[in-house]
Amino acid sequence: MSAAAKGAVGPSWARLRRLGRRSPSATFGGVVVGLIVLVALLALAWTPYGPLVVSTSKELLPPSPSHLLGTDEYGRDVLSRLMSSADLTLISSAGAVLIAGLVGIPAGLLAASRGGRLGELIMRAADLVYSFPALLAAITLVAAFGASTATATIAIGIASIPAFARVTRGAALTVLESEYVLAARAYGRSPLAILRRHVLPNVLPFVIVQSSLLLSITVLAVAALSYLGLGTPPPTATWGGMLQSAQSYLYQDPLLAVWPGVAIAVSVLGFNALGDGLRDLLDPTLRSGE
Amino acid sequence: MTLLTVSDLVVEAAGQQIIRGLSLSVNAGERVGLIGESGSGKTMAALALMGLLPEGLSLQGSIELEGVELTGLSDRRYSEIRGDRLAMIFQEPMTALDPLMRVGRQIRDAVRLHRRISRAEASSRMLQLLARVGFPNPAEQARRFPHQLSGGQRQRVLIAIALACDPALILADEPTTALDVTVQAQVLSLLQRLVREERSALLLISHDLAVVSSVCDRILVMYGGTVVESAPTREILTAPRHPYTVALLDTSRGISADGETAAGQLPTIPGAVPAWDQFPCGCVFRGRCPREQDRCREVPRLTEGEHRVACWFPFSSEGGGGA
Amino acid sequence: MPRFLWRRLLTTILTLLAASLLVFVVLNFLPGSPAQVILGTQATRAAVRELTVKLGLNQPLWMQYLHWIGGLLTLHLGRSYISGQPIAPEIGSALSVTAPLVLLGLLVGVAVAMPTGVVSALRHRRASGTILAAATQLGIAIPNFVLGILLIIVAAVYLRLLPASGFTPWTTSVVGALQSLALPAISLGLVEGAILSRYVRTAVLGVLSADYLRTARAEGMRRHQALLRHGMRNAALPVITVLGLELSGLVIGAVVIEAVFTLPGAGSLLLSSVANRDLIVVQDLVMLVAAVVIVTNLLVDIMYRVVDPRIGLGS
Repeated sequence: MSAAAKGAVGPSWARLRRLGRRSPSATFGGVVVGLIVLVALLALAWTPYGPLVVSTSKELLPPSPSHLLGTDEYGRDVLSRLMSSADLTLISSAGAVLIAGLVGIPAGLLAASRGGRLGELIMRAADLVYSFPALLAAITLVAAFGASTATATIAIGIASIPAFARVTRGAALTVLESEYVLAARAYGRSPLAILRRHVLPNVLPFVIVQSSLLLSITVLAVAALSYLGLGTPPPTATWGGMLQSAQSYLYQDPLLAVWPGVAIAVSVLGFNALGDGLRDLLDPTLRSGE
Repeated sequence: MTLLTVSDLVVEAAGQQIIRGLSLSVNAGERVGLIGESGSGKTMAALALMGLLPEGLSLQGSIELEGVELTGLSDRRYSEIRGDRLAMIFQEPMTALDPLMRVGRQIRDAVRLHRRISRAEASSRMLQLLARVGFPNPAEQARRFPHQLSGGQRQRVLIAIALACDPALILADEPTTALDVTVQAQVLSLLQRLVREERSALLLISHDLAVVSSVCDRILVMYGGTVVESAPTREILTAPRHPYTVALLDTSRGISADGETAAGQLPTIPGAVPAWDQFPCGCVFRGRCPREQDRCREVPRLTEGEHRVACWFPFSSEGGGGA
Repeated sequence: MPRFLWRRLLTTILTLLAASLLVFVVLNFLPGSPAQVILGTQATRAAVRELTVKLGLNQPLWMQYLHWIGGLLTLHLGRSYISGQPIAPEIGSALSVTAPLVLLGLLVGVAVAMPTGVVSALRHRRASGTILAAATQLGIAIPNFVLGILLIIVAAVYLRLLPASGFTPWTTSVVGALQSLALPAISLGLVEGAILSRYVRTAVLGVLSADYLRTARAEGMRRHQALLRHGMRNAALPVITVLGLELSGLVIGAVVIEAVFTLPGAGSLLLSSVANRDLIVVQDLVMLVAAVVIVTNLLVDIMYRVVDPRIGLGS
């Protein structure tokens, strides 16, 4: 029993870190995500040009030393706009994941530890929300409250709650049914103490993996919403919005559409690879559990 | 008449030998036991005989069955022999059957693989096989799915599959290890009876001396991927010669607890079986052997004759071994 | 009918009801009345009141809800607040674009996923398998609307093979309709196919190491025989469970793809209704998509039990 306890609770963090070096997928994802975060931080302080600065003489310029990725239909510097929308994308995506986690994790823990009627009710509610894919939920909320960054973030966050609730509940259930928790109960430890000492540390790695995977989905949803004109309204630079306006100039300047497309794809790829890598390292049984 | 001859079989993984120079022979209708601790390479030897080694393992040496050399055979030719002349029963009856297919059909498939007979004929053969392995109402059992059967029942089904085409040789790899003790005896006696009736030869692989000695005419003792001793069952039990065999017998006698062992301690073989890539050079039992001397750095060859042993300093053939 | 089916049917109906309530509540507790929105801020109070009565919006909310549900069940969807057009035929004609698009997308997805998934599993130790797996990983990362635009650049702008946008109605030309759906269906299907491919790969890998496959080989089956006879069905099981997820992914993906290729489907209708604040149409369409997702989950659940005797329909 003590071996099981050690294997499950203690070293999962150390294991994550040690194995992180061995997984190319996690390493690749980590590097990509790290680069995106760096670019976003840099963009807070500096971009080559102002992302909103219009220049009527410099419309649809091809890439050149002064404008590395060229300019758009209003003569705005594409690189600066790409950089500055990295902030917005990350904040919006992370915000959505945060909302999903803040509601989903406690809900999952509650469903696992209480079980019975309440647990059933929580999971049914999760199923219900699950039948509204993130984009559909966002479109509905935008219809009701109008397009804005906040609406998009909240909508995607709400739609992602079930994913967190399910993963948390699953991970918590395996811990709660384990022998060392039974032993802790037998010693008369309070449910709250068990939750804090045994369940949370075990659930946390799963939550981290889920967050990374979810981030790839929210990045995609945020971009899709702004592409559809349902996210952050223009003229603020967004990858989706840039793609949408570039589509009108496909015949004149196809590259204009390629840059934001690449930015979206690379971010999604990064979070996905990170999450996948971490998941494989964390626990192979997790894969069969999906 | 010799049915199976294996000589100098070597199985390598990434340059390391898992099986180092295994030689053995099985006569037609003979029941031979292959015994050894876990990690001794028993299962790998069985898979090598079946031509079903996992990807990435390489094989040298010779395997001859009924005069046909099996090594280097194309998969097509090997598949014609597998299941027809050479069948195998695996250790895990719980997972060895397709969970989505009725057991009757799985047996029928095995029959039809090597026999050009109609579906109806195959079905009647299947029912006959189910009856032979002890199911009182075969037609009803045939319609069941594996999950509706107990472990013992599933192993009976797997025995039926192995017998489907009257093989000349059946390999049974720990066929009863995963079963309850009471069921073990039933399945074992069934297996013993059937191979006798079918005149098939049996190569029974097990870590359990009691299982092997109750079924087999002759016992091969395997350690570190090679046979260290080979003799008729009686002789292995009464006059073992290899120090490892002696130690093995001591441990199993200790379990029978006849009061000989001091202070209730079970006799054990000192040390543990090394990992497959960490065996010593020379004699494989070096390091755990009480009789080890300098000469043991050279690999001892298996002696000729009825009672063979691969040891430089074996116990004498008359004596009671380690007593 | 087995007990499982009854229970599952009941929960499906309850889920549908709960979903409709959710949609109704979100879209009806809004600042300002729909009549005000329709008539604009300059409208007189009398005009607003008159329209409110005409649209039945002065009734209590539960009456409006029941009225809406009744309409959905009898396919009497009423008229749009904005255009005054009857809604049912409008949704109907939109579905004549969206339904084929989704089905074609599914077809493309399965056609991509099956071979790549199986091959990358069979060759998982070799370079070709690893490359395939990496390619599907890349495919997942490219959102369908980005892929759509890239395809437009290649196939329409450079090669001039296929139309970049618009839709030729089925009644005008079946070939033309298929042509205008080709690029959208490929963009939709490739991405879903990449996701599905990874599930297929995992499923096949699981089957490859299964003991029953070794038993089949020991019986004398060739590798491909054993895979066909025992591998396929067993590998299909986990894939079935994600099919529902796939289909909802395709449906929601179609909304975006229709915008990329300006196809007059349900997605475009939904987006233009959102832009016009034509809430009754939004309400109907959102409910439609949610219902498709919920019913698909039911069908997948039943299918899973039909294939797997261990669970079965009885219990």
